[in-house]
Amino acid sequence: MMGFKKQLKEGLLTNNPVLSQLLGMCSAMAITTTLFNGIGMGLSVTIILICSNVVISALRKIIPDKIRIAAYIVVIAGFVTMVDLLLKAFVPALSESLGVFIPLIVVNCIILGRAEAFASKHGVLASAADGLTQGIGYTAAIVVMCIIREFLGSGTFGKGVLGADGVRILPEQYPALLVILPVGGFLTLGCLIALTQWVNRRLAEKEDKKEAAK
Amino acid sequence: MNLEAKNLTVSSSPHAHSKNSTAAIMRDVCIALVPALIAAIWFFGWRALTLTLVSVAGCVFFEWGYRKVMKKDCTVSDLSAVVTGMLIAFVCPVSLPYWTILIADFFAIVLVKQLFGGIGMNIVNPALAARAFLFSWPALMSGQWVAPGTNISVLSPSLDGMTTATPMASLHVGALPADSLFDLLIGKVGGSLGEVSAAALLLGGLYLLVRKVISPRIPLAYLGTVAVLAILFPLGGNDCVDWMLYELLSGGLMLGAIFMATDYATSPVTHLGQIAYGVGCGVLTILFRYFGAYVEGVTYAILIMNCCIGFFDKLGVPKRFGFVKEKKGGAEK
Amino acid sequence: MKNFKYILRLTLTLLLITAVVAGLLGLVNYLTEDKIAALTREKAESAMQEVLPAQNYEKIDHEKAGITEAYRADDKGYVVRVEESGFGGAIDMMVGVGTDGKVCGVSIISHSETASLGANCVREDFRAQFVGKDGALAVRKDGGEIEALTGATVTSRAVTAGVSLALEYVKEVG
Repeated sequence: MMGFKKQLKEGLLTNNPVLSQLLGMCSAMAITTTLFNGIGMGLSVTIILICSNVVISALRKIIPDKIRIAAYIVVIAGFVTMVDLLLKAFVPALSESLGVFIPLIVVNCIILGRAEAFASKHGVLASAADGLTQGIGYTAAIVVMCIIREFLGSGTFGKGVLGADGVRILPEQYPALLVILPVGGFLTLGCLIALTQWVNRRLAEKEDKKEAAK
Repeated sequence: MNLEAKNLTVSSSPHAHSKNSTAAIMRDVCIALVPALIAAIWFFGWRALTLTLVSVAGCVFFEWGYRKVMKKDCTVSDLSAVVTGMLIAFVCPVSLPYWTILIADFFAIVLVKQLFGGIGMNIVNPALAARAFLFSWPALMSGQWVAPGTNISVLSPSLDGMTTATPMASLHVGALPADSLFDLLIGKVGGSLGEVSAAALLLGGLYLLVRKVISPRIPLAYLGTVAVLAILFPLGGNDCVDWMLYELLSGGLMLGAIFMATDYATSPVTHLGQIAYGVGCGVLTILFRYFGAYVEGVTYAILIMNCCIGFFDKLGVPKRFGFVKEKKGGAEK
Repeated sequence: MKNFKYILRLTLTLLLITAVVAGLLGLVNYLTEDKIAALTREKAESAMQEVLPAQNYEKIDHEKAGITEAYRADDKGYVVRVEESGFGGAIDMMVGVGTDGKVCGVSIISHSETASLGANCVREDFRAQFVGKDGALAVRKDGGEIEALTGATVTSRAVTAGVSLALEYVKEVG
């Protein structure tokens, strides 16, 4: 259980896929314009990440080293396509809103990165936990981006989640359009990464002090 | 945080000492901007002044606030925030609400300038980046233009029935503007607050040249390139000299070429680099004006060239004294 | 020989994995196929009902570029599905044209335009401008009478071009 807690902290902060490892930034910038998109994308990636981690970890002794990347990609692409089809059939609104970014999860570095860095070296249970915590980290990062960008760019909260237009916070003439355009994605992500680095550094300093006190 | 202290390296002598401090240069730039401000007040009324003052106050406040919050030494006295504040107001329509310009001030000072390390460290020109950001509100930035001579309210401008088309709008579709060249020269046309009067801007530019604050290389290369391209490729079958003069005097070109492209932190230092940079700005400006979605392209031309100065600084680097070109298989360093 | 065995092992492992994944994909596809097809049809049909309400839509064969589908709507006119490239990708729209050769409705089925700018092309007040128009249409900037969306001239041009194309097509068949 101690391991899971540590993994969770890593996933959320110190080794957050988007904000610390700087992986999966394309989708993080492209789709984070409404809360609905963020939650949908986050859940999709988390589910795919857990599944692919579990399968790859289970097969890690069977897959020869030489063809491991090819094998990983086939597994990942399989899961992504399944999720894509299921979304199209049962949550068409989300599938439309995320568009090409669902199929693009195949090449999302987080999934392949975790397969290569974690699942291929650890047991099934630990890999599942890694998939879950890294997925939570990804989801948390893009949901925060969604909330910021939706608030500043559209002036609303929870578009698509709390009603089609969400809750209006800023009157319509005030929101800054640029924030929900690609430029805003870069700006928001940059500021968030800076903030994470700052928090991480503070955390590391604290740890150091603890060590020194011992 | 301690980056500044760590990187403090002193090169070997000789050191040239200059009496020019940042504050003195910035004060000269402020003075050079005054004629354009007076022209703006003359044509658009007192709101031109109040908007500029609000913008300057905003920039100074954000600069002071950021340095205070981040526990860095205060840099307000170098007057660079004042210049940025004036320039931001100059690239906005006089009818822009005060809250909008304050957001632009915040964007320019905190995000564009201070987050990169403050004065001299910013990659792009803060005022132009702020203008690009202001297109978050396209209706406020380019929806309606106040006709010169209408005195709009200082508090809440309502624009009904006194708007005009800017010269750029007709140039964009390949037609000569209805305004005369003389009107363009003195600034009796619609447009952003500080860009309308070419004569006032040239006067300011002349002052900067005389005071040796700027060199003529960048503005001349920039304006020259635009002039040559406009003469060679006039749109709409217009007379090429007329077309060239209108292209030169319309829009934000003068303001951009004299005050924005020459910004020390975001322009090259070598002579050849400066000329190439000016030519690049000119080419991009014409491309944006002819083929762009927006009617004016000076902002984006300079912003893009700002990002390339690392390349231009490699052009024409002077030879170090006593430096001999290394021969093949020569002595190691 | 040892080398051959190794290569065989690589191939078979990959083949096995691929086969299993393909099998699973086939299963998921089998489960969702009908549902997705039904949803797509439903969407197209509701778009057709919106632009030109009719009992029956009879599909017409056609060969015009840019037009994906065309239907005869009872004897009330035609419904034409057009794809036109906008600012962020293809804009898929349904245009209803009455027997008098005038537009009676425009509906955007899917698009990938910029949120808050080009995405406004789905708005009622923008689409309503086309109703009752005929001939070659253009936005005001190009000398026509269609009021373009603020900050989204490219999108407005694309929709206008799509509607013009549909009108042209109906003129040819009707």
